[in-house]
Amino acid sequence: MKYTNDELAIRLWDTEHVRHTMNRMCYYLTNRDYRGCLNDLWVKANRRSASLGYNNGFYVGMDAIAQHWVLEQPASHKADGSAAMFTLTTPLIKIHGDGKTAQYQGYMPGFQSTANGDGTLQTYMTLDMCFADLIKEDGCWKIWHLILMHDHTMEAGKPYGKTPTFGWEDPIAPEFGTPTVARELHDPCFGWEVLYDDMPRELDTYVEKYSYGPDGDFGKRYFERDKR
Amino acid sequence: MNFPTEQLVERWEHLRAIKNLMGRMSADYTLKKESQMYEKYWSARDDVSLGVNEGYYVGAAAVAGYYRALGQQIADQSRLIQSIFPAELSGKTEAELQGVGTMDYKPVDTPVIEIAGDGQTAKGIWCLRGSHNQILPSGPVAYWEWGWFAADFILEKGEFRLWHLQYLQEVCRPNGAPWYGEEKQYPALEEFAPAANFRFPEPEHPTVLRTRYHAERPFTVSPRVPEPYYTFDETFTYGWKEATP
Repeated sequence: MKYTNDELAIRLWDTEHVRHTMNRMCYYLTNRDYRGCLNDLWVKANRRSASLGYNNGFYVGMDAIAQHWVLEQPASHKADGSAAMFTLTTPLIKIHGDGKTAQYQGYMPGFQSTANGDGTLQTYMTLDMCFADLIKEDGCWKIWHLILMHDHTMEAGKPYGKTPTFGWEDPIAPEFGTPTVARELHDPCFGWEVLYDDMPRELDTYVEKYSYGPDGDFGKRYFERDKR
Repeated sequence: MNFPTEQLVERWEHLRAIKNLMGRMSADYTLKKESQMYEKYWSARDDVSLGVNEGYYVGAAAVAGYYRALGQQIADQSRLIQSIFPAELSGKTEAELQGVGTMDYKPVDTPVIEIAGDGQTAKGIWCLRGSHNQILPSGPVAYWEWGWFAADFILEKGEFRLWHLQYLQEVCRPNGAPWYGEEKQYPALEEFAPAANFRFPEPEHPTVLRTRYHAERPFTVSPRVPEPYYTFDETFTYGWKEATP
């Protein structure tokens, strides 16, 4: 697509605003302020179609997302001796041709730690990926569909090589809860080749099939997808 | 705030320059060029300040002194390593020895940057997730480091420079050890005994900006994230203030 200089300048800043919206999300997650995150960064007009995805499925609609993130937030998150950091790096951002929607992909390294009450800690370093559809509402970029794809959990101070490849219960997995649409979006035991199909695309406009919402292809095996 | 196209582009170039400043500063930690950081990145104003976990260095002389002390510490460490490894390092110049035996990766990410509506100042926060080593009487010990850089920038001669910087560690714990309890102590090595003499200037305004994470610490939120603003007097500062606790 061809753009005027004015449009190019706007798209330049659109990319920055998408990046900043996603980065701001990390600070809300670090501060365990899920209510603030939903209020400040997520869609208002598109509440019913908003979604939050984990490895095991999607929470669909802002009410379900708030139920999971805010009302069912574990008390341990903000207890004495708890800490977390969520970061985003290596972003890949595509603003769709019509400038109304955008897609984001980034690596999300972090740590989560809770106190055991006896002076010791359960500390896990995490390697995740983050995917999002964003939509412009009243001139502001808002998170519409978000997938927090969890991949690796490494306990601080313990050799990672001693973690079994199979049959290990990831201590972070209970945080995913029970999504309203159960579907396997990612299995850390298997390869990532499907992700090549899930990166943000050069699109003129939003296409549901390529979205990071529950009606998109994300997480489907290659044989479950349309032939190209 | 709405800006005409030319101004939008100019503001985007400032944004890129601020990101590049932080990227260069991060690279300079790796290259052990701390002694050059004040000249390269800081404002010439006298009301600059640098906050670390234990307090503030306030004013140009104190901030410049902090970086000079870092440079001196690196030079002392390099000479110590040279004395321990004469076969490999004797006869090398000071420049060749610069930083030998030390390592410091401070990659920054997750930036949130706001340029003031009037274009005269800017604010930014970055996450830091790296690893470095310290030369101790037990030899070099590697640490995981998690934390933040949070900064106010000011436009000087057409480019943004650091005005107030907070460098706050959330975690600084030895690699390969749990994050609780006393830090693992390795046995002292006679040849590294001079490392006990390394000294660093204390912040002239000591205060607890941030307690590093430990098993009893109350839940503590990240440093405040910049919000859009028009002029600096309508936002908060990362700098030292008389009323700073």
